[in-house]
Amino acid sequence: MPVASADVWNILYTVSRYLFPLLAVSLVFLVLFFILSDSRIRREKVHHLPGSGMVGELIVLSGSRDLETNTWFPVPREGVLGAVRSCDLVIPCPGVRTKHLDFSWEDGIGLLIRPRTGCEVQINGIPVTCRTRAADVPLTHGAVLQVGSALLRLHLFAAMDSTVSAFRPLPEELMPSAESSAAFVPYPAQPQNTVPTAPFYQASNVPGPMPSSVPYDQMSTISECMQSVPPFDQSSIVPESSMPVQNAAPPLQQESHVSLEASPVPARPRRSDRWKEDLGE
Amino acid sequence: MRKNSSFHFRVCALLLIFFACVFLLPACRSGNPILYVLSAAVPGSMLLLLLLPNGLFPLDRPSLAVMLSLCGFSMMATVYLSVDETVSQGIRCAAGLFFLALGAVLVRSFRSSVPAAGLTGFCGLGLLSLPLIIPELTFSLSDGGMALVMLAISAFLALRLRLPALFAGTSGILLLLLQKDFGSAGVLAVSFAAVFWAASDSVLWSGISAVSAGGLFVLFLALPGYSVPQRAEISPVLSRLSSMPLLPPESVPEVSDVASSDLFFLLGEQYGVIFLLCSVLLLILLLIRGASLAQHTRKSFHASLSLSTVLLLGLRAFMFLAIAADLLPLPAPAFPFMTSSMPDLFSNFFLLGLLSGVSARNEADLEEDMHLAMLAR
Repeated sequence: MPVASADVWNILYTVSRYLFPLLAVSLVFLVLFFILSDSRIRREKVHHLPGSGMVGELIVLSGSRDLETNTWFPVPREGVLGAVRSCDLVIPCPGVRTKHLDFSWEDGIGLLIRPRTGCEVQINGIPVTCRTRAADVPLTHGAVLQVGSALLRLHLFAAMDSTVSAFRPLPEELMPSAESSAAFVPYPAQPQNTVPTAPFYQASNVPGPMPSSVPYDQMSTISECMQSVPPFDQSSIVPESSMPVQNAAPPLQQESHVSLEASPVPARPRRSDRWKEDLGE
Repeated sequence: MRKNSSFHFRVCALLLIFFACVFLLPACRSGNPILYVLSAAVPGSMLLLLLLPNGLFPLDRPSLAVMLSLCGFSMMATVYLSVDETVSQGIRCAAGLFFLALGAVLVRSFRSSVPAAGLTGFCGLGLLSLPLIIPELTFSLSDGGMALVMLAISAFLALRLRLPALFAGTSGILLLLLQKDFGSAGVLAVSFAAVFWAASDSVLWSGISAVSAGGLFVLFLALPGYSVPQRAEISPVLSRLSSMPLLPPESVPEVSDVASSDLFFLLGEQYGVIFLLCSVLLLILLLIRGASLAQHTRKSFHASLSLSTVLLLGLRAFMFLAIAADLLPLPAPAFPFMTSSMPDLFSNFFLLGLLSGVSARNEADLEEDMHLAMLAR
């Protein structure tokens, strides 16, 4: 049984002819603003967390003319390391190919390194190729990665908590030989007059060399394995102002430290310039 | 945060008012109690879903708002013509929420491993091959199969296993071509080639994927006896579109065959072309949202998955509109979320669930970073 009379209904229907399209258009605009505001809020959040999405940093222990020692690179969860600027981690050193390796973060294991075909890297002196199972030789906190002539040390934000399980005996085929262990120099001698150039990781802050005296096959317990990794004093690191830990400590006032303005690390080129360079290459 | 909440509540309020009015108006005319129930139940359930706490079940609110609007539009298309059809559509949409949750849970629990990717690909190809195995099947599960195949391709590509990804993609296209489902095969081929190009990071492999997808089409078209199914009538939709008013007509138009009519065009006839434009714009917003989610992901798997979802939904809508404009002489697929076909509707819900899962993953990653930053202080 109709509630409204025919006349009333006609009036209501006439009103609805204009009201409904108006509401529908308003709905579209509101959803648009909802999406835009959501994106803006996310951008703001990420702006306040510049290290967002990064699992750690790779610190250059030994680089080349184009790659200063003590330069650091934020490491994303997944990406490509290579010599061209389109890569996520650009290592312009002799022996590093255009796209040298893929890496990905695996919770509880570490940074898995997958060299591309024909490429080779060394993790703590152990040669790793595309045939090596990445989970067998993960890059963990404090581990040293050798790519071409570059030596890089990984510093994880999540530190050892999430990568303890990675310290387990290596498979037989991956055991470093006596020669390779002896030849591996994870932290080459620096010239005495080297002035620390990186603004945040001073020479004194960078952890010491990776001792190669304890072979992996003799590591029986986790504690032993942990001892093999050089102690990494978190408090000794001066956090970068643009990293997630930016407010952890005030900037050091000691005279020996080099200020940000004095840093010779070149500014990151604009994205358009990077594309041009890549195309040129 | 306050600004975003205000937009959230405004969308909720508008949906509540709009859909309450839409169902109350015909209820006042006919006095049908079912319409009164609908006028309370439809906006009420929309509000409940949009205000569901994030801790209980994380869903992407903007995408959800778009989906609910489109589902509401599909219900209001038949409200003057057949209340039973409206109720059926409402039940179908409610049942689709299960697939929405399934998609979201699947993304959150899916680990990119070879067995998981292989199993998903196998299930997807199985769904695509069902019409070949059981010719008596009256409905098509190709949309769901395509979603699963794209999920498997994304997982394989994230694992850098390009050959299995290539195999899954080409097998899916092959199965669809064998069924003479040219439209779906085209959608899958374009999505497959685009995702391969975006995720494989290799010109060679992108070329191989594009050539293999295109080669299958050329091969089938060159086969003697293979014919592309044509649309039965030429340009009936275009003539209907041109006769539709911009605003709702002065009197409620009568449609004889409601069950077989497309809900998208019924909406246009009942409420004017402006509602069709709003539907298309809402879908475009959903695609923009999906692309934005793909940009913010941390893992290549999630990025490929979001891209696949956006492509599958977008290409279907594009094909629907191209066929409506008489640009493609193929049988028309359904417009996303505005169809009475249950498999199509459920696959759309599943795809949106995948997007919601990726969004939840992004939010969780950001929360984790904020927690780390807080600990560092």
